[in-house]
Formats: sequence, structure tokens, C-alpha cells
Amino acid sequence: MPRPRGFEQEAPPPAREWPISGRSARRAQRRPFVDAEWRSLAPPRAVGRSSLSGGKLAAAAVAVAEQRTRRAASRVRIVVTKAPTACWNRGSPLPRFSCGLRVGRTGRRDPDNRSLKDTMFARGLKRKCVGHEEDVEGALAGLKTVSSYSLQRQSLLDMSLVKLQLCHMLVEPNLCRSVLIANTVRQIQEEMTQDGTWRAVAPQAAERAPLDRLVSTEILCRAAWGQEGAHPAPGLGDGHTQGPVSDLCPVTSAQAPRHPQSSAWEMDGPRENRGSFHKSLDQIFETLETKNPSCMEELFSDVDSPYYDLDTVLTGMMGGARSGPCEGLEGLAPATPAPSSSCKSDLGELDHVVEILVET
Amino acid sequence: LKCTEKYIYYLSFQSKSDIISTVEFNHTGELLATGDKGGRVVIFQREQESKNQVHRRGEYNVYSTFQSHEPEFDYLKSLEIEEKINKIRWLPQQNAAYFLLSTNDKTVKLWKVSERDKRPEGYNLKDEEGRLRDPATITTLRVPVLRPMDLMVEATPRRVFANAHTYHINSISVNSDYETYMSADDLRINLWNFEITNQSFNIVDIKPTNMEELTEVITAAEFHPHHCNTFVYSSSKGTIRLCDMRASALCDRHTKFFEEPEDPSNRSFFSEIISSISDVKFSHSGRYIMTRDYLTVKVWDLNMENRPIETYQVHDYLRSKLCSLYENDCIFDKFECVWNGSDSVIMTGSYNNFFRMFDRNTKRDVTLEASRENSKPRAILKPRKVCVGGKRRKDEISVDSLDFSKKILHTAWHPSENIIAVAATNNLYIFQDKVN
Repeated sequence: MPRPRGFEQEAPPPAREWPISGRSARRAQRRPFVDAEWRSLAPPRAVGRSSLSGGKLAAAAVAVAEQRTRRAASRVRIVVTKAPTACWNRGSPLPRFSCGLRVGRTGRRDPDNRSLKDTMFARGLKRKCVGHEEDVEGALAGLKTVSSYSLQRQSLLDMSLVKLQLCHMLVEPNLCRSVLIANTVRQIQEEMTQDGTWRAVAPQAAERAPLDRLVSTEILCRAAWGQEGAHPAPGLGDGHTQGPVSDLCPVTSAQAPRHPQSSAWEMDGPRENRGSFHKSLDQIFETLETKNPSCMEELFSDVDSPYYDLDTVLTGMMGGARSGPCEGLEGLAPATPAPSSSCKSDLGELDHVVEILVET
Repeated sequence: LKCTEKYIYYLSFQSKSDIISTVEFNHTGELLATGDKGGRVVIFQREQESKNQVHRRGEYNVYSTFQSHEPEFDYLKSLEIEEKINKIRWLPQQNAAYFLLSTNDKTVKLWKVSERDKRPEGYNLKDEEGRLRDPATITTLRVPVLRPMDLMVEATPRRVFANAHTYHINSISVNSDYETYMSADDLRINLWNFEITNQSFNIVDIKPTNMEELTEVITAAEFHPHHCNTFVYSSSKGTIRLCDMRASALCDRHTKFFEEPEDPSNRSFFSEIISSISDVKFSHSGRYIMTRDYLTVKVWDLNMENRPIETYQVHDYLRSKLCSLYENDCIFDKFECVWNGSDSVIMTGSYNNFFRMFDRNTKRDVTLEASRENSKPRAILKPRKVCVGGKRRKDEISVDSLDFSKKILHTAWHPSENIIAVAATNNLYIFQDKVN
């Protein structure tokens, strides 16, 4: 008996279109933060760098169909770095992946006080440290005790989670790639759990096998299946205190299942690791997705210099040995003893971004 | 091909406007089909050998171009469906026309490519331009005759096999019975009859009930060249399963399972990713299968499941760069591999527009480059070498200088002669071994 496979009626997909209209400088500043993160970590493949000054895209479906090529280029534009990173697609050498130096920032943590979520990503760390001067010294002390292997492992985990987040934003994520990245993440999590470097969760959760706490593929690759959830949650009205942190760092929500006790996910309880993660992802997307269609256009408009600086700073995260952005980046790290003046302005920049996000 | 002699010279070279996504010779080697990212198919035909121009023997020229797939938008899922041609497979020729299957992510189409070199003239009711004649002006009757005309090659879609795949189609394979073919996506494989477009049989389904448990996808699939009941499919975990359709309707339980035990000394976080098989090909004899993972090509004997009989390192110097390659996504590149007509040489692509050939008998290998600078007509290709460390000799290229945007993912080998087609981004190179 033949079994024709028609449309699989799975959960309706999230609308990921960002139609463009209107203009708002503040929204322009809000988007690039997240994009800049992707920018540095996932350079485009075999596509020349196109300028950011694209035209307006028509509304959703029609735009997609008609402007498919340009959308693809636009998508790439999002990840094209304005700063001259190691453009391997122009024949330059492989970007040297400096595991030690960059990751050192995220690896710095006080083993006793600092939760893993806070230290997973530089941005989260930085934001958290703004105004928490006393934690800085503790983090500095913790730095020396972290081995380079775990730093490398940490950075790999960071990178993998960002890659998975990136596939939420793509129109047609490659399922094979998503599954492979998710498996890598799981592998790292398993090892970290065995090492004990995985931050312990509530005692009642500890009874369960570590695998239960591992983030499932489905959660990691929400959009990869194309069907499942990630419908934006109605709002961020949970009143959790770490709003700015989690909003700005979508990948930090990956840590949510490990910290059911943390205030952001408390309402779900330790049992609902996955559920809380689901919700947190929804909240992230809600924040990231603009309700105002003007956001998309801002990405392609000529941006003013503060945005550029922010981008430069953030692309220094994973890039090659560029001294300028690197210095700025070092300045961002809370434990840097002598931040330069430029990084002070960068910190101010990020505060501004935080402000924007919190307001919406 | 005696690749130890390294006599290969450049035959022809075509520039395309779009990135070539698949290359395939037909069963006689007379035609070469390429599919590109824009949904176009371009077919090249080999020129007939003529006594006048011996030196022009065997050049390939454009025979037909047509738009196979158009971009679509799936309104239900709010997803674009790319028109990029993922695979082309020829059917064996049974009459004057040529038939091929081409597929994008969701839809398979059967195209008929036929020649027209005569046209009827002398209709009674129509004049030469096709306008209807006034019946009152017709005084005599005549029989239309066929007169020669300029050769016209037309491609018409004969079948469209749509709506059977939720995930992206990565392989199609024509069965040796020439009546059925299969299409494989990330999680399922469907069996089609060429005549029936509104039904397909699902023969493999690895989708878990709970998608949270998904850890493995199908990466390639192919029918056995002689046994119409046997096929193989490879997975992202580096395993190959051989299935027999006689055993059950749904071939979820494999007949044979090929997997090489992992080398613990080489274990890293990237082990699984680089073990993911990007291509699987039966040998022409049907006795062996060849698989391509990120760093190696392996030849397996169908009778031995626990390890391959041969392993060839394609670009082992990348093993220390896996982290960077993961960062820029190159580690997910899907290289293909091909056999030559006699199953004695295998070929696969690499980066920097390099491609590699391995002679299975002599165990010699060669690295060649597909580039415009090196491809003067009739020029012999110079073997290339990548220097791994230490002192770089002249003409060697160091690993850090490799261009990772220039990758050769798709190659094809003529079924009986030593003619190879190499797709380098948007250029197609055709090389031939030196005659005499």
C-alpha cells in the first residue's frame, strides 16, 4: 500500500520575515548587536561582500519570492562584517582561531559564585559585570585556575550554540548541519557534566541522569525542523531580573536547563528544563524580532559610526590578530586592569543597546 | 588511467554564470549534464570525431540549456524552496530521445531532451507561417513532406514528482530495472515508478517519533548497479546501511551495516562531524562501495562490514585545522567521489580548486588543480603538492595559503574513457588523458 508523503502537518512555523518600512535609528542599533556576533563567527561562504546599502524589501512573502537572490545576499549581508576580518573567501589564510586569548574572557569566572550562564558568553559576562565591580576581582582570580583545554572546549560550545542560533534565523536551515552541531554540543555537555565543570543544579534534579539535562536536539535546532514552535511568546512580562542579559544573548538561554533555580526560569521548576528552555527561546525571539517592520531596513541602511565601532569591537571576538578591535575587546572584559578609552565608549555603546532592548 | 604518468591535459572549459551544483555523464559518455544554483541544466555533447580534424577529437560543446526548476515559496511553512539543482541522473537511452532526472530540494522532474532536424512543410489548411488559409483559396490537395531544418534541441518536462518530501532531497538514483527510481531526503527515502507521479512508496524512514531524539540523518543513497532490489544509504554518523527491498516493504532494518570502529587516538569533538559521509557510490562492478567523508575516501567490500578495505587520505593536513574549518563552516562541505570506468581509479575534490586521484592498484595518487591559468588548451596539468610544514619547496603551496572558498565538490568521470569533468564553483573543466 503506497504511503504518499504529503505535507506534514506539524506545528505552524514562526514567521521569520522582517518586512522593511520606516526608519528608526534606535532599532538600527538594537539589531546589529546580535548580528555582529554572527558576523564574526560565521563568515559567508563564497559570496562577495556586498554593501550594506540594499534597497527596501517588499513585504514578506512577495518579497521573498521575487527578491530571492537579493534576500540571500541580504542574509549574507547580515553576517558580513564591516570590519575587514580574515576574509578567507578572498583567498586569505584560514582565520586563526585563537582559542586561548578570546575564550579567556568567557572562561573567567569565580568557580564558587559565578554561574555558568553568566560566563558562557562574553557579552553576557560583560553586561552582568556592569555595576558589579566586586565580582570582577573574583573572576580575575578564577581565571588562573582554568585550564586551556576547558577554555577551548568552552569556546567551542559557545561557537556551536551561536551557530545553532544562526540557523533559527535562516530560511532553510540545513538539517544535517544542525544535527551535527547539536551532537557536538551534546558531546561537550556530556563531558563537562562528567568533569563536574557543569554547574550543579538543584539536588532534586541531580537524581536524574545527566542526559535528561542535556539540551535536546529539538530545542537546540528549533527552526531546523522548520515546523516546531519558537512562536514568539506574548511578551517578556515574566519580570525576571536578568532580562537584558538573556535578551541580548540568545545563546545563553541554552544554559537555562542547567539552572532551573535561576530567577529567569524559576517559575517553570526543575522538572521543566526543556520547557523553560523553550519558553526562554521564545522570549529571546520575541525580543530579537522587531514588532516594527522598520528594523530590517536598518540593517541595510548606511549605519553611523557608533554602530560600526560596536561591530568592530565585537568582530574582534573571534577574528584574527587585529590589534584595534582586540584592544577594544580586551577593554570590554571586566577583568582587564587598564581599559583603554575606546573600550569605555564601547561599554557605553553596549549600555545603550541594553537600554534599547529593555525598553522594548 | 595511469595516473602515475600524470598525463592529463585540458580539453575544454566552460564558464558559467552560476555556481555549478552537479555534474553527470550519461551512460555512453556522449552527453554531460550540469545543474547549477539557478535551477538551470546545461547539457554538453561530445563532438563526433572527424577525419579532417583529428586534433579536435572529443571536445564537448553546449547541446541544450533549459530551466529545470524555478524558485518557489512554500506558503504553509513560510519557507523558500531553492531552485538549486541538487542532483542529475541520466536514464539509459532507449530511443532517439534522452531522458534525465533532475531534482532540487523538494521536487524531482523527468526531462526529455530530443532533437528535431526536420519539419513538415506543405500543409493544406495552413500556410508556411502557420496562419490558416481561406478554404476558398484551396484548389488542390497535397501531402505534407518533411524537409530538413536547422537542428533544434528541445527539452520538455515529462513528469513532475512533487510533494513527497518534507526534508531536503539529497540523492536520486535510477534503479537497474529502469522502471523505478528512489529519492532520498534527510530522513526518508521514497521509491517511485517513472509512470506514476501522484504516488510514491516510502522505503526508509528514520525520523524518530520524538524529534528531540534526532541525532542522525541520511546523507546519500544509491541503488545497486545490477540488483534492482538492493540499495545503500549513508548517514551523518559515518555508517552505511545496505537494504534489500525483498525483505520488507519498509526497509528500516538493514541487511548489512558498514561501520569502521573509531580510532581512539584521533578522537576529538569534531570526530563525528568529519566522519559524516557526504557521498556513497557503488563501483561499476557492484562489488564495492566508495564513501567520502570530510578527510578521507574509503572503499568497502560489500562482503565485509566491519571496516573498509582501502582508505585514502584526501587532505589530512586539514586535521589540525578542524577548529577553524568548523568556525567558517567548511567542515560541513559535502564532497562527492567518483569511480573511473574500470573501477581502478577513484577521484574526489578538495580545496583551492584541487582534486585528487587515487590509483587503487598502484596505490599512487596525484593532486591536480582546475584553474584557468593552468589550463591552456592541450596543456598538461602539473601535479600540485601541499606542503604541511617545514620548508616549503618551490611550487608547493602551504596549508595556510589554501583558498577555502574554491572548493571542488562535484566531479564526474566518463563511463569508458579517461575524460573527467570537474566543477569549480561556476566553471566547468573537462580534462582528458593524453592520447598516444
